Amino acid sequence: MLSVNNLTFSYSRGAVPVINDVSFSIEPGRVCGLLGRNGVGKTTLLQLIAGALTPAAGWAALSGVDTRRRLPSVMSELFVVPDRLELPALSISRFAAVNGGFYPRFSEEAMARCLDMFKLDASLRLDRLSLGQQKKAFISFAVACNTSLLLMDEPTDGLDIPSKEAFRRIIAENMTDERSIVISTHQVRDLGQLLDHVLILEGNGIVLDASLSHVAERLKFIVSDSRELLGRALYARPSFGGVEMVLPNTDGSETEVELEMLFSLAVERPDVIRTQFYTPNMQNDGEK
Amino acid sequence: MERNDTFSLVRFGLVLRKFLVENRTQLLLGAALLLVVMLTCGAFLGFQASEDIAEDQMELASEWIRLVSAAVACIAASMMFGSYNSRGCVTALTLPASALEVFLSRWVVAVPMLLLLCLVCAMAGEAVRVSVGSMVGEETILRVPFADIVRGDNTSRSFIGSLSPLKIMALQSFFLLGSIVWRGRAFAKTVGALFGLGLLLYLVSAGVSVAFLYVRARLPFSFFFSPLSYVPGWVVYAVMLFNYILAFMRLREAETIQRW
Repeated sequence: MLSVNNLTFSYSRGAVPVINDVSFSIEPGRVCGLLGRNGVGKTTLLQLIAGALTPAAGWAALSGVDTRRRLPSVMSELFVVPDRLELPALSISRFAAVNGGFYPRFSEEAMARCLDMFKLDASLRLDRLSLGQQKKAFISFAVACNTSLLLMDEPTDGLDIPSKEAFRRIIAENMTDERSIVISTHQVRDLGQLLDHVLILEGNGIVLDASLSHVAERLKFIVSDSRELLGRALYARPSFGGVEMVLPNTDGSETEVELEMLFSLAVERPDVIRTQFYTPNMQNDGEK
Repeated sequence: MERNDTFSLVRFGLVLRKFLVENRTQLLLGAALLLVVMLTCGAFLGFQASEDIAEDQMELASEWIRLVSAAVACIAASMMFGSYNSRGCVTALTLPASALEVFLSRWVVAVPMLLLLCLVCAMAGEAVRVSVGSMVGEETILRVPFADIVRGDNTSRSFIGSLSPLKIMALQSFFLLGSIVWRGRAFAKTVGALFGLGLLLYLVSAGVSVAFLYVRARLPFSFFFSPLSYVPGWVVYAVMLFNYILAFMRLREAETIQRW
């Protein structure tokens, strides 16, 4: 399990913290979306979790061990797919052969399946691929490592539409009860059906940390022209076919969570999120 | 699964293999360039054989070997941790290997493997010098005493002539440290730092000499470098180990951003 406790970080002494007193945990078996505006600190948070940055306060731990220590036994259970890649001049298969040995559960079969779904040939040289192809090759290797925590920073950036579909299938088919995946993205439409938990960053903290099932218990997402409903809406925006609205769920019927609407509500009206999810007389996320 | 988080021979082997395979093109090109330089120096000196006294030619060849070896060692060391200063540094930092394994894998390549390569290329260059010298009709050609170079024996009073393998390793250790400390242009920055440090030491010692010993300090090039020829071996060892320890500690604390 990934635990983050009172994590605080700033890029220089005296500067306003980019991440301030952030705490959350992600249990195995979850695909968690890390959402936030550009520059809010998503990449920074992922690097803190991976132990690649030193926090000013707090810690991030995988199975109880501080990731900042970067112990090999912990790092072999954690893999990071960064947003920018620098890959060596090797074929995909050679890269896997050289690097797979660091991960005890690395699977050549899983790698081959992922490459097949991405329609990549393992004999291709990494340095001669396009950025999108490099990302697909690296994602294939990341999934094949079968680490208990997989951190992905904007994994669908640079992927074409069929590749995004392949990505969703790969994640869905390779997800297990022992594995957690954290995907940082601002392209929620690419990943909406994959995620079962969301973390929304705004300011220098977390505005919302909840499972999508819990969100669906608290909020309803509908499209309607009703003025009465519009009057009760927590957030609304015009769209083709009516007005998209977020309403409090008062009748217990659940609707599909519209992640873009949820994100807009969280960043523009964090007070509403606090009221809906974190007031003392309401139960917080039942999974915690 | 290896549970030893400090050092594992298996993991060390994986790290070393990864470094050699992923950088094989640069390493092979560097080795080829070194060989070409040594052969060219050998050929040039061979053509000059008839114009120089044999002892002077041999000493000149010896100094060229030391100079080229030192330069190559320092340049190579300044590139050893390039992956930690690039866009791919997150991947490098999260590699499941201890800092000790990573440091030693780079050290093995930059120090014993490279110095051995320098020796082999130097011997090849020396063979060319002797051959070319014989071809131009020079009868007396003194061969460079490689055994003395490797042992660190020297009777030369010049700074370059005093460069033993140990002193080259000590000089190189500054560049190894610089490669992990500085992001970008590590070689140039290390040269600048060493020059600044040397200038500071020189000014302090010259000042002490003038102020307390009533010795008139001179500023010729030889006065600047000649004391370095007589640095005791234990000082060289200490400096080298100190730099290695600093580099290891810096590597252990490395992040995706540079912080002092």
